[in-house]
Amino acid sequence: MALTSSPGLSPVFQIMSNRWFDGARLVVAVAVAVAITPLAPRSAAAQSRSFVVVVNASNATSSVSKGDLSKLFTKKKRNWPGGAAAMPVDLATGNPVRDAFSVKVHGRSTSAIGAYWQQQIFSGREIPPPERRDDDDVLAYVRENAGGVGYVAASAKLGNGVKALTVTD
Amino acid sequence: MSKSTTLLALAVIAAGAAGQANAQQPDYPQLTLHGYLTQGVARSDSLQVIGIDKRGTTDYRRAALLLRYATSRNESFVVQLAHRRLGNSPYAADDPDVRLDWAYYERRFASNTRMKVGRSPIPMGIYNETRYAGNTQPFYRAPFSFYFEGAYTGESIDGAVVEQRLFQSGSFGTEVSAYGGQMNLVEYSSVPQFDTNGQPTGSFAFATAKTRARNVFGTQLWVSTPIDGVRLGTGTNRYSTDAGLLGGGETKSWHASFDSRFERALARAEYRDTSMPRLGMRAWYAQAGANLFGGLWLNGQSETMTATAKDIVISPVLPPMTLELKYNRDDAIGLNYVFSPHLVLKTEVHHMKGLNFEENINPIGAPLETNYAITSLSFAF
Repeated sequence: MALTSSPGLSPVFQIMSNRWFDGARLVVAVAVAVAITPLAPRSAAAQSRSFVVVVNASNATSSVSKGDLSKLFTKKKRNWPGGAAAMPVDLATGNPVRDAFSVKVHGRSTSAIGAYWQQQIFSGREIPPPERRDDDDVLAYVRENAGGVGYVAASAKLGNGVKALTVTD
Repeated sequence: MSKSTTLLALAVIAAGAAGQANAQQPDYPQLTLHGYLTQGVARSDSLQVIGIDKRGTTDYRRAALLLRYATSRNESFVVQLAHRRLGNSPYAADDPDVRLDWAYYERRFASNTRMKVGRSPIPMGIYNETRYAGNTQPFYRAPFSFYFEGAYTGESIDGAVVEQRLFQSGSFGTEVSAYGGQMNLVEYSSVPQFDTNGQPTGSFAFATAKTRARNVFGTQLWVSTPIDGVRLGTGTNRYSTDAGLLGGGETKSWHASFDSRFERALARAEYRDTSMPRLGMRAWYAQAGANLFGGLWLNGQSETMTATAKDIVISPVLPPMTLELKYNRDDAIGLNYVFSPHLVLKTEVHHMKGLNFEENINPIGAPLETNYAITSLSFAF
């Protein structure tokens, strides 16, 4: 069928229509150029803040791979190797230790993980782990829950009831 | 008190309770509340597209409250109340102010199995389950040619959904879903007009009709790949309808999906083939987006639908015809500013060509064209 323009097409939109493919080519070129640009660290300061992953002292697990740790925090895995329920806890959004954990373990920024959780919430599939304001609150959560797993600043004093977990690549 | 007001009052009470529950330790039972609002302003330059006309409209909105009451780690009760406005669109003409989107019981089993019973979202394609959560979408709506707007695609099913996760420790994590029950549909079509003697007049009118799909059965398969962020999917479904705009009967469809989402870019494409006794539809779309800088994203999308319509009466002097239609082509470009995953501002321009307008269109006439634009703000909590 031959294509015909609507007689009601205004001059402004007619111009837009005539230049449509030129604009589309430019858009595709820009999108490809940006997409292949390597991801620069969102925050060099966040990267430099090291963290330690902590679990309840009764947890038999002593090490976990980065991939499995990411799955625990995105709830793609819900149990420890022995079958006990995992209970991850995040630091609050905006905390630089959380930013560093997100880039190092998830390979994504906190914002990108936030977008993942929006998809999970509004598809009715899952809700994100609880958030705690600071290191002390995270340690208290992990101490109180046998399956608890969290992360705190490397300089934090762990105290009784929690232990550090080795994260392997 | 109207049903809508009652539903809203219950939601407000539950929201108060959820606020209290969220502040406590995460012991069970646990009540959580989430929600979203997307408000749009839209205008076309000539023809009406899904409620958007030349006069423009701000009656373009989608909102929802989602309550989850978890009695334990493995059991939840979920309710979603929703509000939708589509300007002058016949699709939403009879929508109540507040309707029950979802109401289901969910049970998880240790074997990575999940079951939902009640009214729950249908797992189909990339966007069906989150189609109205504007902060999760590159554009105002999911591609219409594939997902429609409640038409021909059920958004939720009254029945059961079962999901099984497999191979989660490996690089090819797999998720298989199956669902069955009944669902509500909206059919739409250009319907030939008849005179008082029952003879076709040669003119057509845009019509919609609500119908109930029965004996619904569908499946969905997602396979992750070793490339983080990339997955492939496919699915099928079938259902039966009583005589409606298209004569009723059995409908079957299948689809294939490609989904890639990275930190600063996304690329998605889907294809869907649907066959009904008198209508066959083939739809596909491709989307791409790139994060330019900060929270600014540039997105592009092209979607197409072709159709084969059988036994169409065009004129009183012609026998029923089979029509091959280039039904819809919609190319769009948009800019989004992502203030946060919870707050997104979008502006998008679409160029649309074909027959998919809410106008009285002759299906054998030349395809029509229009441009339309939508600016929207999406907020979620």
